[in-house]
Amino acid sequence: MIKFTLKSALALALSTSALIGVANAQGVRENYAPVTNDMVLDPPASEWISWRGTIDNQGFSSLDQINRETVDSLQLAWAWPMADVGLQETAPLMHDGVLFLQTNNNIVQALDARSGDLIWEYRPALAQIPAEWGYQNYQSRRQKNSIALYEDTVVLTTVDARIIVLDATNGKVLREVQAFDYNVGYSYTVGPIVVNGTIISAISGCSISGTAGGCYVVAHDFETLEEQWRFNTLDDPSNPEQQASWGDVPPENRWGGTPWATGSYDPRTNTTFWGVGMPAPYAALVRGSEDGDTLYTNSTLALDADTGELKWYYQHLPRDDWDLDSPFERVLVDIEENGETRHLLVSVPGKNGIFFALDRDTGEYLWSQETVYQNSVSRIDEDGTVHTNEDLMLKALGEEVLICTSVSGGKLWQAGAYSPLTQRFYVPLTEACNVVEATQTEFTAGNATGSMRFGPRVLPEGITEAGLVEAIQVGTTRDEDGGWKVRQRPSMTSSLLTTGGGLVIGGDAGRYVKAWDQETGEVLWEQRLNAPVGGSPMTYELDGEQYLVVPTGFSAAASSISSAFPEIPLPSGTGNSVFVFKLPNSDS
Amino acid sequence: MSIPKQKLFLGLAVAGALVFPATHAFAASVFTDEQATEGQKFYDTQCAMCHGAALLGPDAPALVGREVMQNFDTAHGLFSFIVSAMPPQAPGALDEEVYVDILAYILEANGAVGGDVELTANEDELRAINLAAVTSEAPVATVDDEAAAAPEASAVPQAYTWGKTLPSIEPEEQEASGVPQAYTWGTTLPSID
Repeated sequence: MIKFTLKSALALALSTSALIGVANAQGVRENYAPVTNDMVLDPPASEWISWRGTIDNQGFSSLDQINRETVDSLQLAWAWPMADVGLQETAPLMHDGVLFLQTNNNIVQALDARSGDLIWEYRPALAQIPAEWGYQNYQSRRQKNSIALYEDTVVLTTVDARIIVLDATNGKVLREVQAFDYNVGYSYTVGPIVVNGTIISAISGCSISGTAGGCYVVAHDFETLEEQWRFNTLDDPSNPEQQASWGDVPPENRWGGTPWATGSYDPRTNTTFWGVGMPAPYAALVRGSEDGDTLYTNSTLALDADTGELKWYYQHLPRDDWDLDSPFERVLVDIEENGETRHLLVSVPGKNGIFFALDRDTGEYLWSQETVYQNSVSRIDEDGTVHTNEDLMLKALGEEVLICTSVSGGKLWQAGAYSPLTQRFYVPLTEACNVVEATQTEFTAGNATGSMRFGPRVLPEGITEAGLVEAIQVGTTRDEDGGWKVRQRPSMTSSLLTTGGGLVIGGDAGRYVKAWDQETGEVLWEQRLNAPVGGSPMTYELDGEQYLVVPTGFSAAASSISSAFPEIPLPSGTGNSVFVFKLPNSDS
Repeated sequence: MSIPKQKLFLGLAVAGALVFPATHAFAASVFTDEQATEGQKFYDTQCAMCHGAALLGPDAPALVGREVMQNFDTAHGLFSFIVSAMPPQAPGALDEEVYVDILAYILEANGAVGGDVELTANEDELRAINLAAVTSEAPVATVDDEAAAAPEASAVPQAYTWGKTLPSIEPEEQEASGVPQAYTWGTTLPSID
């Protein structure tokens, strides 16, 4: 397995440190108020200081100036082009009047949140890898989520596997560490959480050949950047069940298990929750794991935030045969039922779109519900045992099966949002299937280990609308009559935002940002923009005015299924931008 | 990173016994130079903005590389994808001849050599074209060519099962690259070929 030593980490850090000096810092934000640990745990209602607004990953803002009655009056306040092209999956943050915007290649900009004027910009000199490492170049150079704000810093995870701490007032590098070795394939594609003086992050690139046997959630001290613990999703010698679940396949031949969505944190139990992606090679036939469940792939992990010790796990898709990752946002929700507070973890964790509710203190399965059409899971028992569809598991090279959802989801990185107003979880989804065929590939440096051919994404038979927003009633048991579904032709391409104004806000491949009524699903406002809506829309309040930030740009969630809605042509330009809306100012 | 040495040595010892189905022994060129030349023109205007001038991305997946060719498996695997899903702003909207030419150019970029045979959109013909085989410069094996040269020894690790007999793998000498391989690499897996 991978052994990454301090010596090699220092060598890599030194090799890149000489380049860091070229980072720019044009301006300074004076009198910046630090983000305290208490703020991380309980953010001001007027701000948006983490990927999903709060560290429980709910994606909810209590702001209500923009609401069911006023949303139709939204006007453009300002717009801004992003600093780089490429897939746009950004999650802007706002604190103390500064909008922090990360774009591809780890460029971070601090903008005046009132005007959109640039305060400072940070451009890292990233380590170069050979052009022939095509999969790594493609996969790593897309920043799915976020940066983190802590004290007077911006904490940044990079495509060349560094953690960089920037001065939030001027964008200058305060310190950095080479957390993993990019030369074997590791990269950060999701941002960290920072809480109680600890940076908790998860590395990506674990389906790239050189990373065999190791994929990690890892903790570093915020001040010293010394590693405190790491948890390997592919190899846990302390758990015989995990070891047995890979059959005869040793750690040296295991890939995947990437936790490529930012985790959540529960201060009540000091637990951090992360989702884990698929195993690779994708098909058990080629993987060699036979009928093994390949733990901890496609699982939820509950880890002690101080030690990294595994408290519990729950596997949402054992024996994955089709690259149907289950790493997506784990959302922490407290429900009052019968005079008792229940502490739930809710999620549509995987590409197959199945919703799960778990007891987050024990990992106990409570209930589940299908959303989009899927045929990867045949049933889920009352005790939470998931039965993966053996009929569609690949039994021979050259055999083709049509699996739903597709490798592009179903559900993907676009995060759902919970609203305490309705106790519903709102999820952006896509109806899609694809043909898969197991292949045998000789692995090469910087390239993937999936060993699978994917056909083009197609709609499931009988379905003509790719896009689906679904509202799921959250509770300790399933509410058959709760929630709603709203369908549309173009696919959903952004995360969702819920607000105290009773709105669900998100957007699609057709360039529309929309506001749905949380209660009914009715579209209350829509605005067509320059490109597919992407990233994670967010909101904040300054000087008594609520702002709505909507990222747009180049979208794989649009392009992968655009053949399902050919009447809505995608732009060939990337157009990566942010559009910021607010209500008309009564003073003006 | 370490791979058990016995796996490496085992792989080197038995790699010479690879047997390849006839469908994977495609030696001849499968497109004309004119098709590839035309295909490059279309690629540069329809594909390069995302897939890159060198077909290596990074804003869309790479289209060259051994792993890419092996994963698409046959020319049909690649053609059927691009003809229905590409380019994303107008999927399937190009003339069939254009897609065929672009396919020819992608094959050429992967090392295939043009000749007298014209590439067509005929599904059966496309299915008969193994991408790894036609884009390899190595001698081509047949079902009778069971004595392919063993790969050169190398200090770098390979897969747990490296070197065992496998179907569907073209017989290019497999230099031990230091890259870990699938657990089942080198073993014979069931195939419907």
